[in-house]
Amino acid sequence: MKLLQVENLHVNVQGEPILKGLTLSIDAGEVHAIMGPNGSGKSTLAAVLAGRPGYEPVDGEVRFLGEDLMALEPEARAHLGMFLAFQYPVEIPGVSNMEFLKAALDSHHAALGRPQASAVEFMKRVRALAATLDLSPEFLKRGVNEGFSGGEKKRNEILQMLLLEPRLAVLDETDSGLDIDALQVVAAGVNGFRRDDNGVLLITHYQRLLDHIVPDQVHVLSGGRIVQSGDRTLALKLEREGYGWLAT
Amino acid sequence: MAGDVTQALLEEADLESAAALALAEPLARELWKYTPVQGFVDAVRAATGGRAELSGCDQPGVRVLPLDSLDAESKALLQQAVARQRLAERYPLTDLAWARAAGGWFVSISGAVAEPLTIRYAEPGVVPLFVHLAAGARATLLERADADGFLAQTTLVAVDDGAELEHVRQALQPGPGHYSSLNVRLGANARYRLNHTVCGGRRRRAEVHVTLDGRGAEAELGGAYLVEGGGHLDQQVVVEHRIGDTVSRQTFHGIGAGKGRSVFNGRIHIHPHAARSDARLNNRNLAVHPEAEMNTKPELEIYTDDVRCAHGATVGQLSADAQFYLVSRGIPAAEARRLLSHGFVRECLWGPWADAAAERFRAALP
Repeated sequence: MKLLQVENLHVNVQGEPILKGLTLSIDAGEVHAIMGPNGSGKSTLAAVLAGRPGYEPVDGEVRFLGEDLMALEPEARAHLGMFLAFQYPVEIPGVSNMEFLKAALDSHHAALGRPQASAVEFMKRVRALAATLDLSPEFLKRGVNEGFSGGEKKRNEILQMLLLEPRLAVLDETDSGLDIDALQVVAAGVNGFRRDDNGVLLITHYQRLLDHIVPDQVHVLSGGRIVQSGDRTLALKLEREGYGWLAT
Repeated sequence: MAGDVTQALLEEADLESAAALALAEPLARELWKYTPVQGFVDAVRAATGGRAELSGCDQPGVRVLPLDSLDAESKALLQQAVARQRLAERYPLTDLAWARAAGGWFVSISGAVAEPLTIRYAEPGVVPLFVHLAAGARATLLERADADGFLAQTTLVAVDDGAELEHVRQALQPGPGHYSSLNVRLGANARYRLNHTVCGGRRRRAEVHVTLDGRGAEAELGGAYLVEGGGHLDQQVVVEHRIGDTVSRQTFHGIGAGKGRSVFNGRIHIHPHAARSDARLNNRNLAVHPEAEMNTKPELEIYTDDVRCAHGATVGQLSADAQFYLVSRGIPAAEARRLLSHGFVRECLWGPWADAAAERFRAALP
């Protein structure tokens, strides 16, 4: 089953073309990794999939679960099952993590016509998920990402992913700024998330994440297009040889 | 007779005339630049009655006396407190309110008081309150203005050496008019924390004056406010460092939720010889309604060199990044804006009644 089909996608940011004909297809049950040098358009791809304002698709098509993704508002994309783990999660003082998670989950239930979780069920579930990510219950009472360490912010992204159970999780450099222990916790979270009916798109600079989350396919993004695809051995080659050997 | 008791206590024969003269001074005109003072003067003059409901008074260390039946010791304490405070600025409308007061209370606190003292202003009118914390006392004071007509709420607080007061002052009901005046003096090593919240209402003026008058005194003032359509809120906050080695912090967040006007003037005044004063003022305003008018003016008056002093004041919109973060999680855009606006004020609410205030703010957000 096709989760995501990106055809010849062109995206401008502030009038500048960043993605220049990107094509990518992800099936259910798959993990794809996108690597590439700085400025190649990796984070732009993540942002445009999630619907961040200012990222303007000017040509091409993106279908997500058969729907025209670009025609949907960001919240509708989330309800359909798109999830972006932010590279730089935003701090929101005054809104507790718990309140935020509840509002997010309630919005999904409302959009999908499911009954709302009771407060008790919700707390139980969130606490259990937090425990699997080594996050103390205290952390759920604090403002969203407020004063969190880099590792805590990334684990909080994974917590949201596990709670909302998206069909496609796009992880934008979730490994950056993590020490090896935190990386393993995050990787275990992602591996626990994987199912036959969902998928993961990992955006990363480093192959070390791929030691822990094994991808089905690795793509190299350069100059706004995917210039090479392969299996995980491609990531190892990039680690050894860098990006210089690739034709752009 | 209205005001006789207060006038006698303050040993001033004609507070009302003194207030009228003071209001005509250029300084008063400057301080009332954004709010027509006459409406408040008329409302105070017309005010009759007023009632405060006190609870938590039956505790060891708490004495509550009506102003018209003070014993000699209480009277002397109060007169001393007023005299000291009047070394700082005088507030003519407070004087006028005192001149018109029909009742009022003197609360004296010694030792550590376990339960909060609560005072609810349930009726329109003028009710002066004088609170004295003896050296080393510790207490929590909660004041709530609930009157459905014009209320002049004048509170004078003396926190003596080494005493600590946590003070919550809330005005959350949409009354037609409210004058709120709070004057606090801190002795050496005294600690004072104020949470001051104002939500809605048609015409409000709130004056807060905190004087750090003893070495080692610390004041932390914070609060949140919201102006609805047709509302006018004028807040004047002054922190005076009269002596050195004192610390003050101010954090106030306000929201313009309708076509109304907010004025926030925050002033830090550091006297000569108040070396090693450490003062910070932060006032942030969020206009969530396109026709909300939010005015802010931080002022520093510093008469000595060896100080740490910082201030910041902003008027802005919700962060686009934060909005996107929430909607990317499926939260509808309008709800995301409400959550963020609420979070913005929630940051500045604390103390025993914070949850109640948070709910009131939530209900008032568009």
